[in-house]
Amino acid sequence: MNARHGLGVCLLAVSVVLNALLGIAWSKRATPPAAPPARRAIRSPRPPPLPVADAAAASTAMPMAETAQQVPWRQVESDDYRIYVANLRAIGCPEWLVREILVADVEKLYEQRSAAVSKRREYWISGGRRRALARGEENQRAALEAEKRALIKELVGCEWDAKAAKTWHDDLWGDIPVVTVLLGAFGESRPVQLIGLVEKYEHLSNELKRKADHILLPADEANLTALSRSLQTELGTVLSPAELDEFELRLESVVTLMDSLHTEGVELTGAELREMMRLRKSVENPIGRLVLGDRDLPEEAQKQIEAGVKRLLGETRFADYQRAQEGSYREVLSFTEERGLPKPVAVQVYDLRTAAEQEAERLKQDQTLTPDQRRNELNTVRATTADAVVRTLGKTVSEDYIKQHGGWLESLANLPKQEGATP
Amino acid sequence: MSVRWPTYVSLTLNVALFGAWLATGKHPDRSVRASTAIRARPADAAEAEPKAGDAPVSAPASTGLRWLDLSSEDLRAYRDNLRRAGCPEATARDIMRAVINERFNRRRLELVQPFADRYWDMLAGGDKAFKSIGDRLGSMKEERDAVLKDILGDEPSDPAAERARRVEGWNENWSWLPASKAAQMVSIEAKYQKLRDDLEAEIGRRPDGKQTPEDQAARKKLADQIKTEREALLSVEEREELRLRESGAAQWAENLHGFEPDEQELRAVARLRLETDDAAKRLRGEKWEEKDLKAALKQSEEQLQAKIKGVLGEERYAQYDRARDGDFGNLSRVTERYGLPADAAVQAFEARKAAVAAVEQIKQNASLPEPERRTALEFIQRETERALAQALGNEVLATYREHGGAWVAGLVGGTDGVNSPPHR
Repeated sequence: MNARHGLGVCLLAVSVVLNALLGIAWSKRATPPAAPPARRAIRSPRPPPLPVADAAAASTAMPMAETAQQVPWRQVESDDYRIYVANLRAIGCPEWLVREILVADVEKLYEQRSAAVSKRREYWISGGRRRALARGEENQRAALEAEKRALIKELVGCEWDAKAAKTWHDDLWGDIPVVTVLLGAFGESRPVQLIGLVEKYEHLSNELKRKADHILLPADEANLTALSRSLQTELGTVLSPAELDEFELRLESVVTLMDSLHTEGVELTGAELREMMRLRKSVENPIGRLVLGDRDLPEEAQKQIEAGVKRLLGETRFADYQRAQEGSYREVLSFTEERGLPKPVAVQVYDLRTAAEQEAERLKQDQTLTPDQRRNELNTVRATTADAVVRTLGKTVSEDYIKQHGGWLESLANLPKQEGATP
Repeated sequence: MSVRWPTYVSLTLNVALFGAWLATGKHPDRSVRASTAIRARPADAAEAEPKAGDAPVSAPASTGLRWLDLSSEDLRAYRDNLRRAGCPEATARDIMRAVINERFNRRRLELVQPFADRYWDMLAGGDKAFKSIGDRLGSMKEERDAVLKDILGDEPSDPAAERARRVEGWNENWSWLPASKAAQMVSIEAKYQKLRDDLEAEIGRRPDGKQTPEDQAARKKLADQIKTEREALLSVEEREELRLRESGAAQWAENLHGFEPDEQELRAVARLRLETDDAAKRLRGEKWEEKDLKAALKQSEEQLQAKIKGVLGEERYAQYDRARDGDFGNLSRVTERYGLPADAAVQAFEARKAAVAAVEQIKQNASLPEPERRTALEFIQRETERALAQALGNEVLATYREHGGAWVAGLVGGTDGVNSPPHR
């Protein structure tokens, strides 16, 4: 009896514990996940259907209305982004495509929300009031942009910018292959991350400048510098230190070679060019320039770079480098290269031009000369220089040269305005 | 005490709770069900691509959807599978665009990555080294665009959304009218928009696409008709309001800094400006000598300013006149940026005006020897800088120098903006 009673008590105890466990399990299963970010229904009208592959496919395609109760996609979609993501992952959608689907969806949602920011305004209001309202709307849009970025990061686990993806997929092909090669080195998804980070910080920098009405106070400058450091840090989460260093060097090369640096006729090696970029980077980091905007380098910094380049290239090639920065030299170099003439010929013509222009300028400034004397002297400079050019290039080539690029020879004899036109 | 009954009750509850747990499990949230469906597959199955020509899913299985059944090497099959699965068209477009981009991205990387290690040598070699890569990338992009077009068709236009946007715009344009009249106006707009769209569509359908003088006439006729219909609906006052709103005259205060006109002032000056603009149009339509026309227009502008002064009153006019000056605008922007009271910009502007007048006086004095002229200009510059610093403070003055205040440093030279008339 006691044994049976003991067994009964044990059975009851086990049953009660089991009830408790089952109760917890049931309630967990029945309870929905806590407060996920809502994927508000996107109310944009349905676009026209995609093209149908062929007639057979068209005939077998199921009209939406008929299958509305059983379409499997309905099982995947959810108004809750977290569930939508989980469902896509659960049915085996590749992670990169989950990200693309989500980001495209979130972008559309925020595009609508951003468009809704513009409010109907009173017509008869002052410019100041209108500008204030516009600033308010811009601030709201900026806040939405930040919210969108945070949502995407939460959903797909990293910063992902649809605009950056569009830049990578639509814009960076053959037009600027150097940038495609630069970014392509970082694999399939990192180019978009890099573009996205750069664009994000450019946007933040522009926002800061807009809010400051482009009148930057010391505090704004400090904030911009902080943004630049932040960008550097974030890039460091995508790239290893060595990759980041190389990225900065290559970025510097793209920016400076597109912008102001010329190397025509210098015959640099790749290693030398890289070292030149390191010299520039040591003075001003290209990442900082992306955020702070283009600024003239202080004279001291420019001297520092020039001195470094001189050490790197040696006297003779440094002279080549300096000549390459002159448009007039590049012009004659390109002309002589097209005709298969050696570089020293271009250098000679360039030197002739430089010397003649300096002499003409001296004569134009010389107050001891009468206008007639000046005219005669300038004509002599022009004639002797033209003869020298013919001797250097040869008769036939010089005729082409003077026809195509000889405007400077004519200008040598131009008199100052008050002394009349070119004779 | 017997434990039999409590045990029976508890065991029954065990069965009931187990049943409830199972029942909830039959309708789990979608993610749970779907993940159950793929759990039986190998871990890498999700990334594996099926062979080209795989049969598309014909109907969803009750156990759920598998991406493996949707995806295909064959892009058309992939697209059609998505459609059959009930994927919304907009999402299907996003997916297909992403898939195509991903495939071409891989090809693009295969092309460019071998050059990554030679980057510096190629760059040192100049543009030519990159040209062939650029050409190949360009061809690849053309190929991708063709595939996008083939799979996605033309970019979708959305006539309903376009109509809605137009209606929203019309509603906004006519919101100043009483509601019933605004609605009528929107109907008129819609009617003529349809007629214009039909006309343009007809022109667009022509094989040669050429436009004829008749097209221009038809466009003008529609424009005249809508104008007539609009005007028939409006009262005299409403027509006047419409004319003001449609003219540029209503924007007269848009770029003013430091002068905030109220509605009454905005309307009054807009009316005066519209009258002057109409008069100027008439003058330009008549045959005048260039210099006479200039003189007449100048006189007309002077008359306008006199009328504006009459409407605004002396004090408000002085504020308005100051606000029209670009230099005052620069000062206002800087002082607003620092949160200084409006008076600071006014004081600084008075200092500028005094400097301009003093420099002008010296310029007019031809008999003044150069050293004395220079001394006088240096004195004006010092005094102006002192007055500006008093009005703005040194920090704000330093900022102003960079944002429109460069003229301060140019006073000794008698240039840099001081000689130029106020910007209007």
